[in-house]
Amino acid sequence: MQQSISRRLAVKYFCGGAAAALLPSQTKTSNIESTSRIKYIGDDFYTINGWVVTKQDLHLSAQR
Amino acid sequence: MLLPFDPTESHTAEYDLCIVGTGPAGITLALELANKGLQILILEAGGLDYTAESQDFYECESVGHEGWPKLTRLRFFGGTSNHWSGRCRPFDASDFNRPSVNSLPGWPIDYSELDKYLAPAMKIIDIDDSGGFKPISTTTFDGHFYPDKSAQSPPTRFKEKYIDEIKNNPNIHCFYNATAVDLGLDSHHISVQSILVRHYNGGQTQFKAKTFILALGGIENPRLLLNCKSQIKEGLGNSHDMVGRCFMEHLNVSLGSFIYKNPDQSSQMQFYTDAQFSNAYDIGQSNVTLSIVKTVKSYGRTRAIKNFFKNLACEMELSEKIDYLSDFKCPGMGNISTLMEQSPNLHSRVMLSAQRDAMGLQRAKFDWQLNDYDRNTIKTIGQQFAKDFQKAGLGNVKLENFVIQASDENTIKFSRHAHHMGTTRMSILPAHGVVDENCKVHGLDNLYIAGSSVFSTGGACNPTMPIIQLCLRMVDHLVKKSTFPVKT
Repeated sequence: MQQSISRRLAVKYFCGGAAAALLPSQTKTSNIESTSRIKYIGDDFYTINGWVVTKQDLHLSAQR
Repeated sequence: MLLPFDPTESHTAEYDLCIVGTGPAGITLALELANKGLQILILEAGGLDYTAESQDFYECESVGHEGWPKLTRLRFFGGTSNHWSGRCRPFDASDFNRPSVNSLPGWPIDYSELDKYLAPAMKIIDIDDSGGFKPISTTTFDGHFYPDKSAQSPPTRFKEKYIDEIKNNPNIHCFYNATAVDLGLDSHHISVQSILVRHYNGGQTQFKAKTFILALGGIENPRLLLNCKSQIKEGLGNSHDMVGRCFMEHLNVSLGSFIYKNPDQSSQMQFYTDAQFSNAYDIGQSNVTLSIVKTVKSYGRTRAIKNFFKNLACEMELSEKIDYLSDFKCPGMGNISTLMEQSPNLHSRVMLSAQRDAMGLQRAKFDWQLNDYDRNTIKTIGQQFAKDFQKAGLGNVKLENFVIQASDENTIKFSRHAHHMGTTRMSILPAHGVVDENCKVHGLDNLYIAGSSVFSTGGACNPTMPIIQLCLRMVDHLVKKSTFPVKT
């Protein structure tokens, strides 16, 4: 899914702060596995599978 | 005068100056100095056109990262300018204010020493003086990145543009098919008296000159110095084992991909690191380029691939280029590439191989290495850029894994820009480099080096412009030092 996601969907997800929605396996794997894919890179920014997201993005994702 | 070298002829006259190499540096120096009345000898190892026989002399033994040392250079009249892309950018003032990198001192000269030669250098490579250096985009990320400013040379092919001037200048004798194989020193080993030149057929003869300049590029300059061991076993200018060390390239790092928030945004953007940012983190400078393939439609890449093959200059890094194109997952998405400064590093170097070329000279052994400083530059710039891109509301970035976490060299996706620098670096002390602030080899009275091999640090600018600026500066130095009448 991540490899073939359309641009329209990618923008929609990002603009909505739902970066994690790009990661299909996140809902299917354990909490430990999904947490390990999140890296803090400073200044309230994180990466999830390489995608750079803000703290707010993560917060919104968690609320979904 | 432009003639094929005939080794059966003897040459007893002493020239004012012998220049080895006919790339942008050699031709600039020759014409400027000949026009001031000096008698110039130019030696070009190759012929007037490309031949496989000549190009074979650029074959290297490569033991480090792949830098394509044979394919990135051209060994015939006009040198590598025969396939130069033409992008120009001068150094920044900040490049000359760095006290040391990896415990090696930075440039021993001030930025103003080069800046005053910018306008005449632009003329030599056909950049409109009024055009200047213009940014292609205007977005600034305060304190970290500003729009990069470059200028485009047509590009100037030095052979096409200057060959007639060389041919018709009465003060120039230019011989091609003439490979310099050794420099003869006086008995005290403090000045060069002659140069031994060999033809492909094995014949050879000596030429004499008052002053010698090597203008052979970042790999051949050290290679020739190291091969000149008939009188000094470690080679010329190498009393501190610095010849060939500190080989630097500009790193083309694929930092990741991006997607613009605005679907109509399709322009290329280029940024340059702010000196405050690079100083604060003690990292190198970098150009960061965002490229987008807007013609990719319905996920079919036929047209892009067709154009790609049409424009393919050579077979270099074919698989990487295909990967680059196939990385585009959807229209509006692009890749982030760089022209990133590599630090001077004693372990990244050009040495002599045990293998010999057809003239009997030892081939270059090419060992391109990155170090922790470079890895930190890649990581810091990549992460900061992604954050700034997002903060500015431009869209989102996906970084490569090696930008996010500690990585060894082998996992970093990078390639070369064909900018070979630093192997005869400029320094005040011979312990830190090979040439002094006038590009004269330490310990030798009359041997000079021209070209990017003298760069103390490489900045993140394409090297041709600073090479020409340094040559014009050398012209002034040689005229000032000259003991014979020169036209002003």
